[in-house]
Amino acid sequence: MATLTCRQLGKTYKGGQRAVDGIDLTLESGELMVVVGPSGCGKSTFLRLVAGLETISDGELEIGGTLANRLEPAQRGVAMVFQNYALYPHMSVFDNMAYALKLQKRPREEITRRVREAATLLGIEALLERRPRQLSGGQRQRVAMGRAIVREPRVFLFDEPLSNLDAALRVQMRLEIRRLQQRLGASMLYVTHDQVEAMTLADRLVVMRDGRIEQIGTPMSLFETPASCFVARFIGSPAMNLLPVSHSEGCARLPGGLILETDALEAETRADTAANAEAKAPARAATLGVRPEHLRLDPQGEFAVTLEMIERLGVDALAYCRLPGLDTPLTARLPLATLEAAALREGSEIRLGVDGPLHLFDAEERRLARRARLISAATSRIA
Amino acid sequence: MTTFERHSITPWLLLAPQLAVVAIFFFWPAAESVRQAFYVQDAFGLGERFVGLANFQHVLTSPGYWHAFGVTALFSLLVAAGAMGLALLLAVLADRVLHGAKLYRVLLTWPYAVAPAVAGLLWLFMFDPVLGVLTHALAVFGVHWDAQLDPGQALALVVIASIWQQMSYNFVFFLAGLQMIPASLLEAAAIDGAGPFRRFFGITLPLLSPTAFFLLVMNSVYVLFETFATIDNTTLGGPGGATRTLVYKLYEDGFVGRDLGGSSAQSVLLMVLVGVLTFIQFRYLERKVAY
Repeated sequence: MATLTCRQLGKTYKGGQRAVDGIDLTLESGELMVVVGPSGCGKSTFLRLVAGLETISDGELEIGGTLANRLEPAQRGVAMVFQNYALYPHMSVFDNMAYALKLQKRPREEITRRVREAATLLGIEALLERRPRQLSGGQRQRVAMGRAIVREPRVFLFDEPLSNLDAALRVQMRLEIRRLQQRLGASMLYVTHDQVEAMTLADRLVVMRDGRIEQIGTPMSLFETPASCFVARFIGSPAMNLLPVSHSEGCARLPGGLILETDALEAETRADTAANAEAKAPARAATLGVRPEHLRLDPQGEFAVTLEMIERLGVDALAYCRLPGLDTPLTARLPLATLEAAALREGSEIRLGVDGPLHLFDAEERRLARRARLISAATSRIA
Repeated sequence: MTTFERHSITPWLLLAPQLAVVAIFFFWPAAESVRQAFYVQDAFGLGERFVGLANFQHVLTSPGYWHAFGVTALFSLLVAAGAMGLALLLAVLADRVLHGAKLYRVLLTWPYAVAPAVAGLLWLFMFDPVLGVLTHALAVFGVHWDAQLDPGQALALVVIASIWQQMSYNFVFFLAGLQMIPASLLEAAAIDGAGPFRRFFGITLPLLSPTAFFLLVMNSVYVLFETFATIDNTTLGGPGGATRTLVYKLYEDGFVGRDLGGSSAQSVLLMVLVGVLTFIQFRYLERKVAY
């Protein structure tokens, strides 16, 4: 059942700036959807449109089956958790959580019961008499969530709720939000710029760019088949290696002369004939993507590179390598043990093999084929 | 620490000019007026005689003093309430302005830069019984305005001039206070179901209470002391003592009437009054301040 539906939702500011442009999405009941993107991509504005804090310029917003475009924030059945928590500093924790219910003129017993229930759920019963300034960051975060829970909203809105917390607390609260969401069966729309948070929390992930949806899907589907270079760069850490290549008939030719033959040929030629009736273009600029996790140390590997720098992460290490003829470094995530065993250091000449899918993107940085695997490699002398 | 210990004289040398100014222009005159309050001087300042508390007794039993006390109380109440209320209203409006906000704020801050004496003159001209622009405007509505004859109108004149002056000061602080309130607090309240009035009285006003408290103290001091120039340039305490506040009476008795002892006693009483008022404000109002 759809809790929230957006149809071509858009926001244009008075100056003509288009902050949100044609958002189409459906939030299913009990789903946690994470909206992620770099700062300025319109994700927060989108959330504010849903909350009713900004007026919708065009398109339709439906919450719980009714058109909500012109409803006041309070009538939309949404609750929002702000980045700075936005707790009322002059009220106790209890009053903060009870404020909405008091405004609804609920009976006193009901208010007390609901606040206590939420407080128990979040483990903040002992703090109810305190003022927000007497609380730690994590406790304030809990109170902010409690204030949202008490209202029993149709949709929870989270606006970068964890970005004011330190790293350890962020991981803890992330788990807690997830647990809470599953326990309450709540529908949540969660905005963040942190891709790890996005990957770990989301049932479905929405990647936004310049006010538009770039891709929408489960975290793993976005990781495995990013629709564009933008998504490929954004999802996954360290980011996917993106190499400029010239591409024709499934063969990607790197500037250094290396030719990689992939099985993307079929899909690509089909797309080619459908898209333009032009004669087979000899070779077009394209981008080849390979994740750092999918490179391995291999004496017979396709990529002959110079190891420039090693970052030890503990179990793994990040090897920053240079391909001859390329400005962009090639990053490989390798088990630290194999690096140590091979006694590699900065400056060593090594070979890397591909152990996973390749990604091919066209000149517009759109994905070329659903699937691309390496078939063979050859080095051409005629670059 | 060690730096300060080694140069034990330098900090005092650096402080000396400021300390000298404070001592010569504040502590010395204040101490002198406290001393004089216990003496009677002759009109030429050639001799004096210790009289104990006689000056205080005389002041506190004279009906003129209590009349001035009443005028001051009414005047203070009107000016403080008017200057703070209007300033808050203007600050709330200015806070919403997006275009030309800076110009708007500068214009509203300007009156504070005008010297009280000049401000008094300005209003005196505008309300002049013969030439005043506002007098003529009021005549259209059938109001006969003559602040030189009508006690109520005289009080109104100094109240308006004082409010106009002090409002800018209050405005700056209220606006700063408003801008300190995070927008997300009011947004959270809107989502919680609070309308514009609820948001103002339930969130904004309580969060402004520290600012309002500070301004109340500052306004009390302003009304009790600094309105002197305004009164001296407009009504001269008249007509019939209708605008003779405590500070104006003190000046009249001391510098016009040459009763230095009595005037000193009044100034001591005024200092005590301000002290007591401030104490009460801190003691009872600060508890109600939000956070």
